[in-house]
Amino acid sequence: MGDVGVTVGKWPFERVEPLDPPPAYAELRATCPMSKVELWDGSQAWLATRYADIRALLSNPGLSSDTSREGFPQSSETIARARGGQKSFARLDPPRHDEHRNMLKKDFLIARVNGLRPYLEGLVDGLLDEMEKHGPPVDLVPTFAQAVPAHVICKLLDLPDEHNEFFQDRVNTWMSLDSTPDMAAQAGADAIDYFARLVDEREVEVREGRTDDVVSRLIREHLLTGDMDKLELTHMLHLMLLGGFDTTANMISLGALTFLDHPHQLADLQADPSLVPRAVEELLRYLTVAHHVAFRLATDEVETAGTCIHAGEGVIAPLAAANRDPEVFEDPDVFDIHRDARSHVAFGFGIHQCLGQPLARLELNVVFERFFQRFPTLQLAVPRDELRFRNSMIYGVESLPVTW
Amino acid sequence: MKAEIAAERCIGAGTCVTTVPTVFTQSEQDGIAVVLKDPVPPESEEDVERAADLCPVQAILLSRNAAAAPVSN
Repeated sequence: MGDVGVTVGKWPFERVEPLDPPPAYAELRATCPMSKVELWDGSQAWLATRYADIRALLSNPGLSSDTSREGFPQSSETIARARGGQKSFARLDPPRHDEHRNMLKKDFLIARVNGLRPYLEGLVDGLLDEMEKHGPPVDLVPTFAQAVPAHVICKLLDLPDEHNEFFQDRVNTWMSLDSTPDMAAQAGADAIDYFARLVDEREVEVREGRTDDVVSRLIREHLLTGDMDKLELTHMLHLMLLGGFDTTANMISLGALTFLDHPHQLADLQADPSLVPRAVEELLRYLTVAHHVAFRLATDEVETAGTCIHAGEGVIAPLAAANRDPEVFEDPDVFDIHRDARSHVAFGFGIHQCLGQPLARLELNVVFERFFQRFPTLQLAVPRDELRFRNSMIYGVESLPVTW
Repeated sequence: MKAEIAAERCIGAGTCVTTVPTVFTQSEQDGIAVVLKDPVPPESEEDVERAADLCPVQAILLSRNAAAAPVSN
């Protein structure tokens, strides 16, 4: 139990069922909704577990997202080192955060993103064709789940389509359970280098008249004007890779697995494709792959749920805890594509809520409209308990061998 | 019911647009949400309240013949 100053355990808590959050969230939510946990380096942070408190905290301007601040809480040493290297606006506070985010608002307008639907349909159908031609068994992760967002990043930033393999390889290595810390660090650095070189090359093209893509526009309107420097632009572009690759890829593979685990739900989806948008929202809620995000540092005194958080104290507001709160979602641990899951916070809450969410939704909708229609007899090609789940910043599965 | 957007808060998430596309859209100029109908049609009131609750930055202000205020705190 959480008397003030007494920690209830060490973060991160263990999962039991791979697709459910740690049982500790439900226990704490019922007994001590605002508690304190011990982190990898011996420091402490507040842990929120109720939906209402998590939303309130993520909306509170007294909590900073700037990971360079002393005492910023992190899940592990590896993540601390990975995040320390990030300088994008995901790690900035207003006003600089707002200035950077505003530069990208127009590219993620709902109507604009939905204009990519024909492209996405062609992409997904093409990848499914290749899968079919290859024949079973197939590892869904590199063949399909990662391929979709890798191609989309190239489309979004107007990169040569062949570069999708580079991104898949580098991000995969960065996130893989089998990579050594050095391999992971190198892969991360390679991705940043790629964007630094892209900025240099594209700047030359902009001066020669190139105008029509996101990167050129950012260079012309914000780099050459002095609104931001090359390092900031490099990290902004890298954020679009980071934000949109592993997240979407893991939603696709874990989403497929979730439907394999729930054949009645899958049958309902097959029978009535108009259920896809609801099913996607429920997958987002149920899986909440961004499971080690929503960390903050108080820069002001913040009060929530009768608890006083002091400046300098760390706060963890896990999205997965919010998305399984029985006050908001009846029978929260049940996967049910018929429920209205739109209140979920899988994309976060507050000013940092995922910029790419319309694109993520479009990708997932197109995928789940088509995937099981093409492979209605899909099954795992290995025993389920042999699957290896990735427990880094974004939750996922290392590989997903399937047959049909 | 009247819906207004606190433009300085809007981050262009578009949740309002996805929830009630008949009442909300996004400006092509700056990505800020725009209210299409004043007053909100009665049949859309419940959905508009939902949109206001879902807005990640609570930028939708609803009023009924009184001073505008956010729906949820």
